[in-house]
Amino acid sequence: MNRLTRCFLCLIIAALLLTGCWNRRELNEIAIALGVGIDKNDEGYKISVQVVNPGAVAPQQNASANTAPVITYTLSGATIFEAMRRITTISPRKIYLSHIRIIVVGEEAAREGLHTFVDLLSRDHELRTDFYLLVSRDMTAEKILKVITLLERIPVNKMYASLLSSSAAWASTQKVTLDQLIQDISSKGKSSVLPGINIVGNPKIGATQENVQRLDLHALLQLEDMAVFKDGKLTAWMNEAESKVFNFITGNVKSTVNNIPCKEGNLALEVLTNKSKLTADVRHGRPEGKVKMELDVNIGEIQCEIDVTQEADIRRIESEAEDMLEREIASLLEKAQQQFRSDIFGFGMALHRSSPEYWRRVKADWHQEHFPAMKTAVEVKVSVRGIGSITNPLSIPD
Amino acid sequence: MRRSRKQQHQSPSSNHTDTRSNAASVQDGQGEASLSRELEPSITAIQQLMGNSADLKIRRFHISEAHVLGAVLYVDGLIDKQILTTHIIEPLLDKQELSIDQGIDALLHEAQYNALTASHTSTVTSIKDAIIALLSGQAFIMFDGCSQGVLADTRGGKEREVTEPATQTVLRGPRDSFTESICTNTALIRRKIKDANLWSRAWVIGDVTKTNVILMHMNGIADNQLLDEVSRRLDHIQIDGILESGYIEELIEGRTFTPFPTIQNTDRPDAAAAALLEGRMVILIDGTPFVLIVPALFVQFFQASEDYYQRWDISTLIRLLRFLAFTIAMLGPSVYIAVTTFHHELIPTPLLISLAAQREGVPVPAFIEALIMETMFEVLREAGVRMGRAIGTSISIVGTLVIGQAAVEAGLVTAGMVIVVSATAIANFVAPSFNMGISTRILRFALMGLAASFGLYGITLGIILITLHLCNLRSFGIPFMSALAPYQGQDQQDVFLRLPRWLMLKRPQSIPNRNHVREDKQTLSEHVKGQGDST
Repeated sequence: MNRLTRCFLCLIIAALLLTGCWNRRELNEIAIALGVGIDKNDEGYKISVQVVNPGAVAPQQNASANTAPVITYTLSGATIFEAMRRITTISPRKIYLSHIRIIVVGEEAAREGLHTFVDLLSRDHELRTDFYLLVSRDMTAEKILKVITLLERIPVNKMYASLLSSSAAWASTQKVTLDQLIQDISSKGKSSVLPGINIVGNPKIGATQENVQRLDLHALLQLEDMAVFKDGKLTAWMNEAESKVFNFITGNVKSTVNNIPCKEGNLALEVLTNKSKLTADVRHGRPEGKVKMELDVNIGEIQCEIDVTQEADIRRIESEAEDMLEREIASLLEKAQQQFRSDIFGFGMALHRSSPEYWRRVKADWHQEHFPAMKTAVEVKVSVRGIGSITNPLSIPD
Repeated sequence: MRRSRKQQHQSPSSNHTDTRSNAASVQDGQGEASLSRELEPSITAIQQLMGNSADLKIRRFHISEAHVLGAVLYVDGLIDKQILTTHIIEPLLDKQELSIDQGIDALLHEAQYNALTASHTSTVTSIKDAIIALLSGQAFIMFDGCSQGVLADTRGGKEREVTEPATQTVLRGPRDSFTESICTNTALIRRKIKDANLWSRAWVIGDVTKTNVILMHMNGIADNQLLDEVSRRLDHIQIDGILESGYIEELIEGRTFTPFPTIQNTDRPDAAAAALLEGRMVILIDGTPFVLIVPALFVQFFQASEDYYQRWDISTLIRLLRFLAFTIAMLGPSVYIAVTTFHHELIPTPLLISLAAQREGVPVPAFIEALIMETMFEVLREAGVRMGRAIGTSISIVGTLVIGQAAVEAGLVTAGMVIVVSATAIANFVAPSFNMGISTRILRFALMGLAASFGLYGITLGIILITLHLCNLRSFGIPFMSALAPYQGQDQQDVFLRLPRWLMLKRPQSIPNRNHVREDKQTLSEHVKGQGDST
């Protein structure tokens, strides 16, 4: 008994000394932030934090159903950390950041560089690294975070859900988490790319309850285009088509739809799987990049007269699709090399793996000099796996 | 009677137990006295010693042929009047052969061996012995002029029938349960194990209550050292009365200051028989349907009788479920408190928002909230146990309404907390033995406190402490966590799993026993062969 008492006392003392960063906070003492917007202004940074108003999103309490489901607090400060703490002057509760799902970076802030605020985001212990980053196109992040949405009543949840569904079914966007971004920024062999977000419609009405009171909403949040970074700074935008091709090259396509011309109309192919291999080698003292891709597709829609029961026609569709993708890939590669001058695909990393010696010599000015001069080769293989529930188009009698 | 029962048992120790308790029971010098030769002074002496109690009945008679006066003494209610009339009074009055010719002692002898048709008779000379016999339900026959008396077994009176077990119910399995009568109870066990090696020792414990206690074990299986240890502890009990097996349990358990039970109790004869076959010992106490099983190990409290009656696959799954329920019952509220007040990042976002919405406007911290709910539940449970069946149901209805709906609607507690507390309560009821359920109830509150002050870190500390304590416990010298720590490979057949019967060839090694083999190889090979034939 005596030994047990002593043992117990030791443990209690140890417990008092060993407590690390613990902090007891009841759930109704914290403001759960779901999204953060970061903009640049004269003072330094302008931070917008979207916090949940739990009473309004709860399923059973109808009492506060006509209040907004979220509140967006906006304040400025020289550093993001300062601005974040200053928010307690306008919010009754301390902002709790662990559940952030989306961070929106204003275009202007992105053009000045991601480095500065990525530091805070990765240094703060409360933040996890599994949220996604977006860049607001042609407007401030604040405006994006102040649009009222429907269906998903919490706007950040709407963005989050759109990002998940569009990257899964349409492939024009890419989910980039903070740790991926940090990895890209700290490696010389790959530049970052972030999906863009924009308001379609009228942002002013979008920020009022009026927005959700008609069927055709005044303002909608749309994920569009992708921001291309160079040395952590935004340099250019890729449009939707280019974004899709970009995802093909990096092997991020889960499923999408690609059209190929077919006589007088179009033929839509549903991409089922996308295996992409990106390699880089040194040949004759010069780097050479290669993209090798294998696609499995289903025929999704036929607008022309073609006999899909014939193997020859299927082969024709396959080679048509291959040609088209190869052309698109080659043109995006060229655009990245000549116009963006930024290795967003990660050829540098591949080169680092295949010939580390050479990489050491070129890495300093890889994006500026060597990447633009790199020779590229593209090889695409498309296989049609299925033709859908019917065989020939209805215009062709069997 | 007592003397005669002792002849059936082999215990050398019961001798001195008897003497001690007898000596203590005598309150005045008269008790030591022998019976007087005359009838009336003897009767008066007995009446005086029993304080002229109203239920001591005296039936005087006269044997006309022999011209001898006599009396039958008995305690009303403890005897069967039918037996008394037909086997004692009638033969004494009818017998023509009883004569005084050979002297009064011969008549007594004649009466004991020829006249009385009661199942068991004996003679006594001391008043004290006669009184003890009277109080255990025997009839005492005296003749005028004789310093000896005859005791005849007439025990009877009202006893509860063998009914279905009230605590450890099963869907499949025997439906008999122990009663308050120790004779019925030993018989129930003997009916399961018809073997000469089922041995028993008897004690009379309690200076005032003189309660019969019987220790049963399987000779040849149970470990002798363990048997001696249990006997030694029973020998040393000195108490005025034993009213329930709980008295004995507290007096012989190794460690009092622990929330965990180190002695198991059951009201199922089949559970007792199974324990005997594993080399454990069973202590039966007169006056209670609960018998004690020693030694008891931690894992034993998760084994229900039915595990062995249902097929092995479902038994194994249900046993795993019990361990899960044990964890929930112990940790449920504390993990909820820790996660909602310290580790919000562990909760998935949608759930967190929903929990936060529930907490809006709740005036007390989560810990106090949990404490209120748990206390309220314990109060309800206690009320339900103490009140009769009829009121019990109305209590539960009020409880459900007050605790569940009204409290949530009034915004005093969150719906989440109600769910956690009720899930915990239900998980608690899964424990096959009630006393292990009590341990989890006690520890749950301690863990809630730790969770409220240190979060998951505190819970971890608590679990470590509990584990250390468990590993430190012993039941009659056997490590309480046996089969797990110290690890016994062989015993894993019946800890988390319940292997098919024919694979459990050996008795558990955690409990020392003299014969390891439960089912010999011969039987096994026949079994396997039999399977081969059938396919």
